[in-house]
Amino acid sequence: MNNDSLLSFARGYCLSCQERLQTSWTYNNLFTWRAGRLCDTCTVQLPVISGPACPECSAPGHVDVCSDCLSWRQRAETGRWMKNVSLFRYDDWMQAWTTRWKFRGDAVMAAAFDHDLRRAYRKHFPGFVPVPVPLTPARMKERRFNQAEVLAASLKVPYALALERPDGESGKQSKQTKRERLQTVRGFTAPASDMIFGRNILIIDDIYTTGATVREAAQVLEAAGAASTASLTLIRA
Amino acid sequence: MNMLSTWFTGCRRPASPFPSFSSVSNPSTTILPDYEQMQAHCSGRALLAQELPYAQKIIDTYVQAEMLQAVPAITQQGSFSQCLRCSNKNPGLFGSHTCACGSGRCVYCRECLEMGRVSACTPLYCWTGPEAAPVYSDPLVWSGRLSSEQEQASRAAANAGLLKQELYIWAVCGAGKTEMMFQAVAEALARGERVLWATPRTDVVRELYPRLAGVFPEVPAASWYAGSPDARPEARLVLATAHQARRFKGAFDMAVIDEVDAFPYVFDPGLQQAVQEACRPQAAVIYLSATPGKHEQRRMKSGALAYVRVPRRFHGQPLPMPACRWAGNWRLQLTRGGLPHALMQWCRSRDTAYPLFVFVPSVAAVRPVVEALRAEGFRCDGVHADDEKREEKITAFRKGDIDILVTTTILERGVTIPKADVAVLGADDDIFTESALVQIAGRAGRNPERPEGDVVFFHYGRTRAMQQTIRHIQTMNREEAEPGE
Repeated sequence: MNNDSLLSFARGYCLSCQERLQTSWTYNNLFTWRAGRLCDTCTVQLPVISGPACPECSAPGHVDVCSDCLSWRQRAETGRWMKNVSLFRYDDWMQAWTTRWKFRGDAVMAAAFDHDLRRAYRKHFPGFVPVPVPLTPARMKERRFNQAEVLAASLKVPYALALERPDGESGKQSKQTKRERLQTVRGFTAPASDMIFGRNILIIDDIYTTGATVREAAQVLEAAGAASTASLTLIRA
Repeated sequence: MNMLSTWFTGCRRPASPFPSFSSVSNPSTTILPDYEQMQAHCSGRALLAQELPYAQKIIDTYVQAEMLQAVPAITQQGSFSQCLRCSNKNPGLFGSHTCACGSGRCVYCRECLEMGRVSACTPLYCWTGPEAAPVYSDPLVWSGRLSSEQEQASRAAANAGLLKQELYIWAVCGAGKTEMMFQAVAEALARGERVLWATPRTDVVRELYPRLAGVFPEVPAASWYAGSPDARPEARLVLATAHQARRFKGAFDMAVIDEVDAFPYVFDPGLQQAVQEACRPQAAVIYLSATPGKHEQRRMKSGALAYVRVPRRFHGQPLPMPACRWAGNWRLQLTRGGLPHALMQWCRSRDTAYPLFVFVPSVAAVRPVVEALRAEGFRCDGVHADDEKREEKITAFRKGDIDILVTTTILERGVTIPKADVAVLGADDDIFTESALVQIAGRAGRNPERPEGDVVFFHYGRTRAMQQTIRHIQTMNREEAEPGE
């Protein structure tokens, strides 16, 4: 799946607010990617992570490694874990965006960010194999698409559906507290495959909140023979 | 005869993709669980399986019994798609993704996404079984009286409802349009028909619902607007914004379209089609407005559109004449955090016992005006379309907790605050068209105890729209003085 065919429909309208696009033609956006995807009002509101951020998890506002990452280090489960890179902060605008994208099911909205994701991939993780975090079969049936897979596809490099996730865990993570999230066991499994063994793996997910999901996935992938693991997420909450 | 087809210039309705209502006699011998609830829930609708509070197994039973029909939600011809729920055909408002249904990429509609996603692999369920038509004999509980002009319009509307015709009621702001419709609606309900009351604005739905539910206490009524609490699907009297009318298909025998000329109804053919599809092919359609567009006026004059004109307010007093005051460069003054001297002076000099609307041309202007007025010691608040507390603020204004309400054009129509005065800051802005200004001026003097009311346009140069507004109101007042046009 590539996102150009995903975009073959939704052209001419802002992917976030559905307003007709009236991008002001400045030299700046003639030569950048954003023209034609988001309207000017939405572009201004994007909560891009810029300035100081935790080098290990992209948490904004930290100059050095943040306390979250330090406590992950203490748990000594880090193994061959490298780092997480996120593009956006989680604010009201991003929350509304996520609601429409993920819960209402407007999958094409992610196409607004594929250039950003590709740039981050090239800068931080060249040569890594993207592996999207899977949904449980029940959630997949309800939602009909996997948002992490949509993001992985937008990187335009071959990605591996190397992880599997069984049914029967507790409810949505977005409704859980931090403690609950850290205690939940998602039960990922990774069947041995050439795509994983000895390769650098980049786990793709939509949002990094406590890091529990990507780190559990990382452990499973390392056990399956991954040389190293890292993650690229759209949002750092 | 399709009543509405003349209304849509250049967009004739294709044959309806929805199944027509067959007059199947009693349900066949198969046992259908919750038959009556299902009938009430589904008739006149096109619903997704997730909108039905029943298991897929029960739905399938109904489909086999030919009570429900599953219609593919999105039809595709080559690269063109059409959503059957919202009639969206715009390729820019579809999306697609690899779907878990297993058939590769599925197209979905982005236009009506908020109502639950419609995608190519999900069917819409339409009721094809017998219709329930509960009769409410004499449902109207209203003790008010109509003036003779209102009476005339009311009779014409009732007649149009009976003969399933199209009628335009052109009545000035504050003529009592809502009351004129009571009789027609009551008669339709007494015939066992379903009635749609469509308006372009959420605020109008919110204001009208308690009034209508009050005068038709026995009739199940529902209001639908974006973010409305779950409404009763079986309602016989439905108040809805034009967007929400998409929830119904071929359901109504009579439609009252309030404020037809309002943005966005006129500019969005999709909404007109939504209202049209919500009605049966032969439905009575009654349009209400104070400011018909040029096109409708021409059709009325030529006799293509039947109409009734009510130039007089229900209390018989003339419409307040707007006064124009020079305000200087109000845009510049707002950026400096001040208000035009003329407006400030006028606010101080008026009798603060009466509530005041201050209309401003843009959302950005609301806050500086509110702040400047608060600094002067007025109890003041501002509303605009994206304001989450809009409803609360309007209620507070109605109760008198706020003296001055600064608003964008969202409150220009359909809102009744009894003894209000009106000021328009920046009446020369392009957003204030003739119809907008006439509607705004119509907010004043709606109460028989204070029929005069002040209307002042603060401007930086008179525009043609302002002059046309004044001429429009003059004409209406003159007609009223010499009735029998």
